[in-house]
This record gives sequence, structure tokens and C-alpha cells, in this order.
Amino acid sequence: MKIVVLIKSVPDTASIFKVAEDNKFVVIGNPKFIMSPYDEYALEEAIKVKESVSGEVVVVSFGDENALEVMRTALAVGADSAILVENSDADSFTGKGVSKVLAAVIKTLSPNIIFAGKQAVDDDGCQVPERVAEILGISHASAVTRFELQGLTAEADREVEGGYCTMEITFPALCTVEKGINTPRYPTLPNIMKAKRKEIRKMTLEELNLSADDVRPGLTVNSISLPRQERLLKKLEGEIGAQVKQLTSILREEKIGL
Amino acid sequence: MTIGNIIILVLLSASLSFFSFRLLHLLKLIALGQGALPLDRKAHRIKRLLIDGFGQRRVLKQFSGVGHFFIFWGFFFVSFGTIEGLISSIIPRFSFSFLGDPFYLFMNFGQDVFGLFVIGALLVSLYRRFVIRPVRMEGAFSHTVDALIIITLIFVLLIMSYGMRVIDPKPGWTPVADVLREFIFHGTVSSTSYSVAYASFEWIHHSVVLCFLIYILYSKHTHILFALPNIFLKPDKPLGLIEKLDLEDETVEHFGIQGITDFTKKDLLDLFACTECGRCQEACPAYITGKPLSPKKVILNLKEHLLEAGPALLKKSETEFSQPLYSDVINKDMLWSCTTCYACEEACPVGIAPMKKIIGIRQARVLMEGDFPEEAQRALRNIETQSNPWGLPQQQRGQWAEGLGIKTLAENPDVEYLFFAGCAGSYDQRYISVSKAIAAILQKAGIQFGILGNEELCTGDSAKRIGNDYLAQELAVANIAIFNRYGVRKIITSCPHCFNTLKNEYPEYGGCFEVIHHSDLIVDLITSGRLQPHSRLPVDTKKITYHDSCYLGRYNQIMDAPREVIARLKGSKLVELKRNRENSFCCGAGGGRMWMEEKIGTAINVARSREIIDSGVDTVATACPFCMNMLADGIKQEGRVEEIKIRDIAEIVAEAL
Repeated sequence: MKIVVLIKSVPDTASIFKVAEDNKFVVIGNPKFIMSPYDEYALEEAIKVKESVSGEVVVVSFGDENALEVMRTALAVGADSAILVENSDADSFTGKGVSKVLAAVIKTLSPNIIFAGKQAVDDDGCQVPERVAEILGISHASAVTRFELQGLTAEADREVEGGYCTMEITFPALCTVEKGINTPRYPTLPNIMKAKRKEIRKMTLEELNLSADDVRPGLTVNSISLPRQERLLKKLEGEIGAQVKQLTSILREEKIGL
Repeated sequence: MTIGNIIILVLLSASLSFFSFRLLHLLKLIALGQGALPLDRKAHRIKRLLIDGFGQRRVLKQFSGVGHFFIFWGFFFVSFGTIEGLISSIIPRFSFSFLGDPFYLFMNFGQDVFGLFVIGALLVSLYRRFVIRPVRMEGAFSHTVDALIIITLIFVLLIMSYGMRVIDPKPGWTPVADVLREFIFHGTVSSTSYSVAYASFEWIHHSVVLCFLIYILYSKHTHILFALPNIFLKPDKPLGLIEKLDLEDETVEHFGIQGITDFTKKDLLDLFACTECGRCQEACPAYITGKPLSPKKVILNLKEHLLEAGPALLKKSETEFSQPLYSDVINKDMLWSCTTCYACEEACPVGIAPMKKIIGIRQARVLMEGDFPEEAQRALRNIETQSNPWGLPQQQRGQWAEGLGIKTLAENPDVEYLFFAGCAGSYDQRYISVSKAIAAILQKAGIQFGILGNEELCTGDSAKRIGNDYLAQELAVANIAIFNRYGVRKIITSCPHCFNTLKNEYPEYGGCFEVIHHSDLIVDLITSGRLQPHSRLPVDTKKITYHDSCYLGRYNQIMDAPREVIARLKGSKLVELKRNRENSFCCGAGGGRMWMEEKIGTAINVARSREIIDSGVDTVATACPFCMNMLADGIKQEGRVEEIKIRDIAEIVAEAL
């Protein structure tokens, strides 16, 4: 069983960021990079499958050199090998370009199953894995909460409004996973040490025969902005009855609770 | 030589062979442990042996220890007589009189008098064990039988030796035997007319001694042999030091304690030095509040396992693993209930270390299996990414100091002190006010200090005690590099956990700094007159108590300073809690427990809070962020938020400035 896991290195959710001067991107001061949390579930699921039937797990990522540390973590957790398509301008790629890159790598690996997080927590695009499956022409199941290998097929659940949808999946297939499917393991020291010595294979767009045209974004960002955060402070005074009246009129004016 | 002499000789040889055979077996089991027995700083070790061993200092901490004191010393005198008696039964008319009269006469006197004390102590111990029945002594039925057998043997032994001395007086002043002789025979006894009685006493006495020799090493009374060496060999390192693992060593196949032979020789010696007195259990916050952990049980389970697995282990070649201890011998809930409060090791009269064994097993669970409570995993992941257990932004670490006129060392490294705020002091909204109070005190006293701001990292205390030595080492190395970059020499901490790690563990990485807890600093500042708190305690504070932090008190012996800080304020009346100073009761947060849920039994913080409520105080002073947090929760749970305030000693002083 060959399993590919798509992982993305994202700034830790506790990072502090601000909107860049051109209003088209964010600037993060001294960021710490982590594996996108949903990808951790994907990786854990892949390792669990591997442990149950034997096989290999390859993690694939597209990103700049900051992604290396996260790939190292994936190796420590239990991936057998790692491929990073390195591009210093990775941030400017949209879902369209990234999925073409990843699909090109996966074609060379011909895996049985591909796992990915249901979304990356940095831009929450929720597109890449499904696009990859479409490019490869294989079936995909999104936001899976249970995955069980049954011989040459798998049974998977996904949560739908008010219940579960249970599906049978034939391979090759791609599954994106939802939180709660498993508990990601904590890497052991011997694996951390081994991961330090493992080689992370680096690839370039050229090696994948992708031109700038192939990966050109299909959309452009006009501007980004932070959510409005205004806090009003008003102290009401006078008799309690008068205060209540003032309060209701303020609530009405501000259209709060209507 | 008569037939009698020969029989005694044969029996004695048989008994001694049994004894030696068993002793050799136990020593071989102990030798299965790692490393060498520590023998550094001999003078200090001898001093400890004299005070804690022969002086029975730790035994005497409880009143029942007085009985043990007499049995202990009685044993020495009586053994002198026993050996003399045994030899004289083989070589007639042998005596130790050649050792010189004053000594010989003194020993005879000692035997006579201490024999009586021992009989008294034995009766009291019987009464305690079978009538009072302290919980700490509970155990398997066989242990009680064990105690009964040994008490009976000693009892019979003493009665017989008195019988012998009554009939055949020994030289010197032997008041007890003299009184008995006077009482029974109204004067002198013709030893010849009572030769049959004497012989009977002698035979019973010798039989008991020989049985005792065989029995002792199969019972819990191995402590008679191993307790004193154990006191002597107790590690002579700071109490708060969990020694770092050599993670670089590539020949090491696993880290932490997986099997019994991963322990050190001293750790295994511990198992045979234990008398099952249960003082550790009686002091253990986890045990008291209904968790399945008892430090005594940890030791007994390990001992039982070693005795069982021992013969097979002795046959195996060294490369083979011993059976895993986790789950069968030490189970999950035992392992993760420990708050590393150190009360067990403080209570142990013979220098046994249950807590460090628990941490060793934790290390193997975390480093080798990645198997530990999920909430603890979350805390460690947060420390890995943002260097604080809450996972709050590293970039906001220095935010607490904004607008207070405090410079970072990056802005001005030419200061005397680094104030290391710690994770709680930087992020915990409640404890930030303590950081601010300390800063205000330092500023008022004109101390030149700086902070690290966003550059500061977690010291690694929780990571270390949860068992992730790897993460703890990374943090230590990184912090020390930052300290060295700014030429830091003196560090002020508010958190006793930071304090302990910086002071006792960082030297292992070459980071030797003068580390000062804020309680000590404040006392110094007041004493030297640089700080003059002129006002009284806040008016609403009538009765105040101080809750000792384990890592400050038991671990680092800082118990007077916080009390003195309070005592220096006008109108303060310090009420001591029932359990205080080195006997203080943990808040429940140490050893990484701060980050785990407490699902079994009573919450430790609630138990301590009840003690505080019962003391009738309106304010409890603390000097540790964990204690403050846990007690605030406990008091809230007990519905006493309105009545009892929790203040750090720094806050109290800052207000009085």
C-alpha cells in the first residue's frame, strides 16, 4: 500500500500578523511554522493504515524553505520519505497552481491512497486536495471522520447535516480528513533522531515540467482587510428606569439583537 | 569441645551459609542496576549517616520514631551480647572482656538497659500495629505476619538473654538483671542449681538467633542491613535536579526506565532498604486524595517485580531487555498522578527516592512511546511552538511590561539583574500583576534590572517533569545562549519552578547563574534598608497564612523568607496551616499536573483549600504562580471567593510601599 499525504507548512495559529502595506497580503513577524492541524490528522491516518497493512507513507508539500522543518516533523511522526517542491514564491500560488504542482508529483508516485487535511488553516482555501483528485482523474471523499480499510476498498464516513454518510471507496482515491478522525501521535525521540538523518527530496517546477503559464493564478487578490473591531464604551447614569430607556434606545440605534 | 558446642557450631554455620547465600543473591540483584554506587563527598556522607542513620533524625520526626530509636540502639548493644553468647557456646568461657574494661562494662550495661527499652518499644509497636492500626502501615496480610514474627523473635530473644543474665551475672552494672534477680531469688543465685534452666534459655536464645538470621533476608526486615548503606549512598545532588539524559549517546538503545535493570544500583538498593513504614504514603498528596498512587506501593511493586524477575535476569545476558515495568508493575494512573511534590522523599527516613523513579518511567513513556496524557501533549506542543504551555503568541511575551518603563536586555544589557518573568508571569492575567508588583519593588529600591521580553523562553520545568527531557534540554540550551549573549549573571525569578530549573538544572548545561527568588530578594532589600514598606497590611487583612510552594520550600529550603516578608509588615499576624514548611501539602500543579485534568478522587487543590478555609484566615499568601492558580480554583470551588483572598507576597509588599 502506497500512501501519499499532502501537507502544508502554515504559520502557527498564535502568530501575530498585520496586513501588508499593499493591502494584498499579510506580514507575520517572526513566525513559527507548524503543520496545518488538519494535515496532522491526515498523516496520522496514513500511518495507521500503513501500520495495519504494511506499506509506505510519502509526504508531499509545496512551499518555501520554511516547509523543511514541518516535513522533518512529518518524518519524525512516522512518514517514510518526504518530497518538497521548493519555490521561494510559493505564497503567491493559488489553489489552481498548487494543485497542478502536487498532482505532477503524485503522478510520479502512483499511490493507492492520498490523504490530506480538509483545509489549510492559513488561507482556508479548501480547494487543493479536491483539485488534485480531479487532475489525476481519481475519486475523492471530503472531510472524512472515519476511514477503514477493507481489503482493496475502504469504508469512510463523513459528517453531513444531522448525521453520517457512509461511503465505499475504491482505490486509487483521495480523502481529506476532518478533525476527530484520530488523535495524532507525539513523535518519539528515536524517530526524531532518525528523521534528522533522513533526506528530504527537493524538486523544482522545471523537473516537473511545469511552466510559469501552467501555474499562473486564475484569480488575483484585490485587497484584504482585518475584521472590524470597534469597541464602544458608554456609561449610563441616572435613575434605573431612565438607564433602561437609554439602553434600549442605544440597542435599537445600533441594531443590536434585531 | 562438648557435643553441645559442636551442635551449635554446625547450626551456626548452616544458618550463616543460608544468610550469606541469600545476601549474595540480593546483592547480585542490586548489581543488575546501572552505573556505580555514588561515593563522592565522603565526609558529607558520613555526617549524614551519623545524623540520619545513627542519630535517627528523620525517624524521630514522628513520635512513634522514639520507639524505633530504642529498638535501633538496643539492637546494637544486644547484638554485641548475642555474638559474645554464640561464640562462648562454641568456645567455652569466651568473652569480649579483652576489649578493655570500660568499654566492655559499658556494653554490658547497654545490653541490660536497652533490652528493657526494646521490650517496651516492642509492646508499643504491637499495640500500634494491632490496635491503633495506622493507615500508612496497611499492606498485604503477609506483611503483618512478617511484623508479628519479627517482633516475637526479638521479644523471645530478649527474655531469654535476661534469663541467662539473671542466673549468670555479667560484669558491670546491670540494673535490670539485678532487680529481677533480687525480685525472683531474693539475692544471689547459685548458677549450678539452675544450670538446666540456663541451658534451656541458652538453647532457645541461640535457636531464635539462628532462625532470625535465616528469616531476616526473606522478610521486609532486609532494612536492618540495607537502610544504613542506603542513607550513606543517597545521591548528594540538589534535590531539585533531575539529571539530564545523554541523548547524544548513540550506543544507548532507549532512554528512561523501561525495565527494572534500567534503574541505577542505588535505585535497586532502595527497594531493599524499605521497611514499609508508609511515611511516604502518608505525605503523598495523590494518595491522600484518593489516587491509585502510593510511593510505598511504587517501591513495593518494584521490589516484588525484582525478586520475581531476578533469577531469570541473572541468567540472561546483559543485552537482553528486562520486562517492561509500565502497566503491570506501575500502571498509567500511578505514573501520571505524581505532582513531584517531593513529600515522599522528604518523609523517608532512609533516603529512598520513589519520585525520581516515577520520572524515569515517565521519560521512557514520553521519549520512547510518545504515550502520555493528551492534555500534557497539548501543553508540550504549545511549548514547542510558542515556548509557553498555553500556546499564546511568543511575540506577546513581553507585553506585560509595556508602559512600565522596563527595558529589555536588548535595549540595555548593562544591568545587574535579569528579571525572568516566566510563562505565568508573562501570560497569566492574574500573575501578570505579580510580575508588575515585583517590577515596582525593584524600581522603588533602585535596582538595575532588565527583562528578556519576547526573547524569553520557557525554562522547561514542566517538560522535564512530564518526561520530555529532549524538549527540556533544547529549552535550557536556548535560554542559556540568550543569557550568555547579554552577559547575564544574576537572575530574579518569581516562579519557584523557573527558580529550581535555572538554579539546579541549568548548571548541567554550563549555565551557572546566581538565581534569586523574589521572596529572598525582598527580605534582603528590606534588611538592607533599600526598601521600606511603611504601611500596614491592607485593612481587610486580619488573619493571613502562607502556603509553602513545594519547589520553593521542600526543594530549595526557602521557607523563612516569605514568612519574614509578611512579618515585616505592621499589624500582620501569620497563622500557620496544619501542614507547613517541609511538611507542606502540594497545590496539585507540579510535575506537569498543572496541564492535566484531575479525574480521580478529590482534587488536590480542593483538599489544600479546605485546610486553608479551616484555618480561618482571610488572606493566603503565596509565592508561586501554580499555587496561586490552583488555590484560587480550589477556594472558588468551595464557594469562599468572597471571604478568602489570594495574594502573592510581592503584591502585599508592593501595596505597602
